[in-house]
Amino acid sequence: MLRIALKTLFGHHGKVIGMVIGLAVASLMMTQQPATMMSILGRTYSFINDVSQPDIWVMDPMVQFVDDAKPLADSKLGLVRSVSGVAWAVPIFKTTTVARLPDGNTASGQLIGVDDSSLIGAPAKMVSGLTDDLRRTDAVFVNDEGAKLRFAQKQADGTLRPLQVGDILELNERRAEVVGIARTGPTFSSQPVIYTTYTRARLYAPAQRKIMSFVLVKAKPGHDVLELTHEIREQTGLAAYTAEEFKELSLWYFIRNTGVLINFGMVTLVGFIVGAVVSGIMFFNFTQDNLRHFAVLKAIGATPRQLLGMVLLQAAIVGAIGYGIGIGLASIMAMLSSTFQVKFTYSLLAFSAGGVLVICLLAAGFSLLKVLRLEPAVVFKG
Amino acid sequence: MPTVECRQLTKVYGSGDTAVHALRGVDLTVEAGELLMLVGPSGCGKTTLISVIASILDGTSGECRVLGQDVLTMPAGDKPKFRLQHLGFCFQSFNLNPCLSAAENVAVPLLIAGWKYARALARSRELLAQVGISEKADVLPDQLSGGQQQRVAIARAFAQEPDLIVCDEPTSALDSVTGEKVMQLVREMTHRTQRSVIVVTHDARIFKFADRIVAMEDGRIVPPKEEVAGGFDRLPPAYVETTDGRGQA
Repeated sequence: MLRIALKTLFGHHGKVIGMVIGLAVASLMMTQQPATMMSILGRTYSFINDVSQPDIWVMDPMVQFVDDAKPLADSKLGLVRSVSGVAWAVPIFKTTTVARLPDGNTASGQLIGVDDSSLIGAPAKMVSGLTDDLRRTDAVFVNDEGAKLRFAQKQADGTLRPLQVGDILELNERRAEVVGIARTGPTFSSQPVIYTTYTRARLYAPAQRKIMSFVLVKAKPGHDVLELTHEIREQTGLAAYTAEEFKELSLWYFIRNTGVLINFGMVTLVGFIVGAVVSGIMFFNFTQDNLRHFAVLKAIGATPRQLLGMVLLQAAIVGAIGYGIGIGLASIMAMLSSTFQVKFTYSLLAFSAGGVLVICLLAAGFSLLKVLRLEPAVVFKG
Repeated sequence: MPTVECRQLTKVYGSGDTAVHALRGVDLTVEAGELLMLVGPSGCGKTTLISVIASILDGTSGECRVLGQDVLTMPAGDKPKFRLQHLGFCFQSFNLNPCLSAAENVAVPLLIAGWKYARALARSRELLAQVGISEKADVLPDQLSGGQQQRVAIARAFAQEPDLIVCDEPTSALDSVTGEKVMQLVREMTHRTQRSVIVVTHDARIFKFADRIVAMEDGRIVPPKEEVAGGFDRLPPAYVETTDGRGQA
């Protein structure tokens, strides 16, 4: 019976192609759009990912997301260090700055000042140079994306030359030598990231009395991290979050305050609706065209269960093909796109598979109603 | 035991003022191994009667015993299995699935019954050989002539070795020569296998193949004296429409 179902399905090439295209479009949009959204939203906390050593981030209680650093007095560092359970606590500075490039052009970027002695907060992956090179005079690291794009310099022949180790930048009218290129997560605004030491960052940033953006804290071995965040809050009056909590805080700020979720959500919804309508109508028409054959099967003695199995198999087959093509197209688009580093997580694939499944069930459901209500006596109508 | 025994069988479509009485107390018996033709003008209830006998349409009242079981009181859930085991169908427009080969179309009842595909296909090739088109087993229906398609449909009707086969206008879409050949085949297979066959037809050319002809009018079987054994000539002409004008009132 299932073989009959498949042969009947593939005997209607045009309708199968239509159904598969509808489902492929739905699958593509339900995968590619949320993946792009996740990629964009993931950039909102890429800095927290890049600074992987601390367990806890301490900040001004009014901070709403990672780029919303509100400077703290340096005295707060000692306060945090005094909390029992803190193994170490180091400052980190984060601000925006404008760099003058070797060719005289200027470009804005993020300036990160990491602890002078431990270099905690410095990028973990170096493309060229060593982390210790940051201790050299006027030393800065630049992230590779920034070096290749915004900080690249136009050559006489029109080509772009990425910023390289040895190049000299001017930050706040001070010399800064590029001693390393680091690999970091892409930022939300795609700005280049410049790393230097905390002390030197004071000079590279416009003058201000307080510059400490966050205090990075490591819990003592065996000390509960969540409990330590409560203790820091109580004893310092500052906000303290685990890295995961801080990521979530940043993520939700962007979800609440930007149209990212709504825009991508709408496109995803449109994809679902278009897929459901196109595939649903095509599948219904396919069933309608074969209603007489279903009636013959019923008259001969096919049970409702057998007919149900046939229709569901047909829906499942076009669903699987459409889903596969949609995922394939989404993967190709992701590979061709240099702007976003899109990742297809298992949950995302399950989400789009669920969407396709719902479409198939809806299409099959309407068709099944028609088939199961069908009076087999219609076989005798000419 | 007769294959079919209907007593005061009625079928009413709708209710109240709009009720249509398609069958008005039909009494009919079909014996085992008998080829019975059911004739009468359009709308007289022939198709309704075979639909009720075939248990694909519910009767309203009376009794309709097929192989001893009253199909009017049979639970709806039991009917598909009953049809599969005891009934074969042959349709006016053949109703072959255009996406399946001739052999696969014949195999449909066997596959519904749960046969393995290879075994069902082997059996359907045997049946196609019996109806004389074994060489067309792998051909799609639209590549077959009308007569060949009806032979496939007949093979399908006999696939499950049913006790009763109902045929609705089996020759109306065929030319006279092909129609006669098809009916010759039905008759041969019926008598060879001792099955009962009810043929609904308007086609006077095939009356000679009947063991008995029963005429209907206005939802009733006409009185027994008007039943005709073995031929068209004794049938009241008003009940029959023929393509060549014979029997027209």
